[in-house]
Amino acid sequence: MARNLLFLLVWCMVLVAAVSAEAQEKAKIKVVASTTQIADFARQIMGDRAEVRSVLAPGADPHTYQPTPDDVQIVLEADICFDNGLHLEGKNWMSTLARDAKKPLVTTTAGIEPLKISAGDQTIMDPHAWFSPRNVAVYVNNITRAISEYDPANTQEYQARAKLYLQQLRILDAWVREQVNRIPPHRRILVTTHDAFNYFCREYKFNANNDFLSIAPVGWSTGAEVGAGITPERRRKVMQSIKESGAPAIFVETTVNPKQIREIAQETGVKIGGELYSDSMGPAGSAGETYIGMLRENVLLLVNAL
Amino acid sequence: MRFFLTILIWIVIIGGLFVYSRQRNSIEAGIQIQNPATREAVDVYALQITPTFSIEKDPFALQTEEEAASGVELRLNGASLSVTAENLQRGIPWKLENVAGVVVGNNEIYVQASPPLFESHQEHGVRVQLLKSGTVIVDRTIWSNQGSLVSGTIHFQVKEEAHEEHVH
Repeated sequence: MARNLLFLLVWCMVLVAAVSAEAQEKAKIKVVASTTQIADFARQIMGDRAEVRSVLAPGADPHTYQPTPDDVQIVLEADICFDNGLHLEGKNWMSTLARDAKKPLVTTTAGIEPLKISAGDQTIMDPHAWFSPRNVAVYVNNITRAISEYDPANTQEYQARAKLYLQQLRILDAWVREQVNRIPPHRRILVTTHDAFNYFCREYKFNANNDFLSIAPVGWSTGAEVGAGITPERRRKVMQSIKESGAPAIFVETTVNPKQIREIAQETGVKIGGELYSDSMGPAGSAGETYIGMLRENVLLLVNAL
Repeated sequence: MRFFLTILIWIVIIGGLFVYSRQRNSIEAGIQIQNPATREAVDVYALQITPTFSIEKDPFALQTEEEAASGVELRLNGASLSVTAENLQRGIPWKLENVAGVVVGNNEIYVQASPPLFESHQEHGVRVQLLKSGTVIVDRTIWSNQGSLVSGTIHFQVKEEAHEEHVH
């Protein structure tokens, strides 16, 4: 008798614990972002209300990424999905994943005036918009709007977090200007592996001799899209730019094979200034695991090397 | 006997779950907010604002319908006062007459303004003066640096008897 009673009581406790855990799990909105940056913005806005996951792992290249069965599964479990758009996700892999799983997809760059880059007879819209904190304010507004529509009961909370984050971005922008100002204008030469830094160059006045645009041997994408990849012409132009500008250092990126840039450094005799975070943030525990950390570390690297 | 005991245990389980879920709901519903009665001060007040910069539309503002990134926000005791970026020019005092909403007791003026981003290397400030019948009774300047918004709260008190003000 006593054993039966004990058994029933234990069972009762297990039941209560299970109900409680399930209720807590259900309360969290499941969000899937294509890139680590967008996942970070979403976390800043949604806090503990959501479980935010990124399809791309830190250090992965969005242009050439091939989704895996695990990615299909996390998108199937998602309530809402976010992508960057502007063809950052090569062959639009994020929108394909969301469409196949019949999940709502929000393009976070909507409303940004994209930089247009000439590629032969075509014009490409540069997708690396997050390299300007002003553009990130648009990402944040789009995510806040979308999540507020999905979960209107907590709109005020999302907006409050977004406001705080936007102020942090504003201060980050001012800090970048102050730091970059330490580099004399004629030494503000940014040569990287691929054309990811156009928005950064425009915003903070790097590469005056290239219309304040990125200088890189590989085009806007590391994949095989129009205006992407490496050509002998691009390589020659980069080497010429380095020689003409007297760039004291050139930089590799965390998401792209550094082979090309190392060869160029060797041939032109300039040093490698370090590794910049570009299409993806750093791994958990690194200084670049958040967007603010990533930009901060990049800027400090540039200021030290140039 | 065993049958009744099983029923009793089931009642305890279901009852426990019911009480638990009710308690959870009541916590989530939040605490009832009490609105203590306030009495509006009888005197006529005016507010004078002087920025050290011309207001710029804030590119880092949250774009909601209520806050259309105007670059300036002015509140008295939580209620917005009508002010636009065009009203506030560098070094020129802007005056809002017949300010309604000053109450007997504790009062708060909240100011938020967006200085130009290209002047982020400079310190910026907004001088806030509250006038009663033409006499300045509150005079404070809110400062910011490193590109942040100028934002701050000024606390002052209006006493019931002589309507005497104290700034905190």
